[in-house]
Amino acid sequence: MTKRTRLLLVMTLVCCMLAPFSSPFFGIVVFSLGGWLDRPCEIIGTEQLRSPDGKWDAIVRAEACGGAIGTLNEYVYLVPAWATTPPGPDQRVLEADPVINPRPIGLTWSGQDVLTLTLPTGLHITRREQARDGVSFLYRPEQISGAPGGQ
Amino acid sequence: MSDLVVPFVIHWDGEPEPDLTGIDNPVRVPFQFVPFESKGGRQPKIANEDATRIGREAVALRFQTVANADRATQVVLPDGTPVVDPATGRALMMPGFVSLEGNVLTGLALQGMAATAPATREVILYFFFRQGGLMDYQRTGVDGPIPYEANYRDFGNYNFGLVGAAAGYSLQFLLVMAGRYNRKVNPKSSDNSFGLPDRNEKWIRAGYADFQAHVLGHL
Repeated sequence: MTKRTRLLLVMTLVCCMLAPFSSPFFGIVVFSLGGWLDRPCEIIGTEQLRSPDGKWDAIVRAEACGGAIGTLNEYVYLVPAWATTPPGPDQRVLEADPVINPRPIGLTWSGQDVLTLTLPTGLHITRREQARDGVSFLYRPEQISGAPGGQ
Repeated sequence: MSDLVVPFVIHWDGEPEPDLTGIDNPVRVPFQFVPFESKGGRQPKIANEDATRIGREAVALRFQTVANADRATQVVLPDGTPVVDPATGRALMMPGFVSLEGNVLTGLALQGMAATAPATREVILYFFFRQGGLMDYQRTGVDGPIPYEANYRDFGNYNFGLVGAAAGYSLQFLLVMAGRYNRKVNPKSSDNSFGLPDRNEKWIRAGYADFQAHVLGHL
């Protein structure tokens, strides 16, 4: 039995003990604790590209988090090359919500310190940065071959 | 995808009836043999040389099938109203094995539970919708866990609004519960004041509203 399973069982026991005192507010407590206990986000796709000078890694990831009411997001991270820890929320330069199935964001280093991000159609950008730590970011919509105006 | 185990018997002309003892409803598969001459006389040669399971004994072969239950189907409410995204006109899809009425009845049962064992309602609701829970259709198929299925994301939120409404929660409480959960599993600066992506909130609201307008009184 894993630590998380044990915690869930303890939580269930505590909930049952508190039953006579509960109310819809109790649901908020249960879901807050549940979110804390649930498994971390599931990475369902990832690509990584090192900068020409070898200083940075650009990482694009599709992450499915939570359960039925969870989220699916695509993130682009900028992390120092050879970083030993996994990228964290404070290293995100772009947060996006794929409309249906996630399609990877294209990454290209256009210079030592310019990262070009090619955004597939149907991607809803919720946050993006223009520059960070001396690296600037260019955003370009994906050109669909055969589409009007496409290359 | 699901596994279908079929009793499989290779049967050919000229041989006595294979021993089918212990096999229920065996499936007879037509099999073509090409006769050829050999030292020992006339013997069958198998047209498909790769087929190794040849004999008179019945064997069970495992087939990968796409069951109807796993196929996506459009969400239609008990009064016959199809659910579509008002912004795009796209139909909301759910797995074929899901019974919307069953889910609503489950929610109503939880509401009944609230009177006698209130905490149980909250805990059961959480276990239904948690990662890998029975109503996490992005990860749970008809036979158990499935690889992540992004297309059921909107239905997951819609179903939460629907079942939560049936369980007797107000919309405000459902949104706060979902938001608190999301803030723990995946905090993002772009989330709204509830702690939810706007898209999740939209579908929870839709599920809640549809329960009030199209489900209540039609079961």
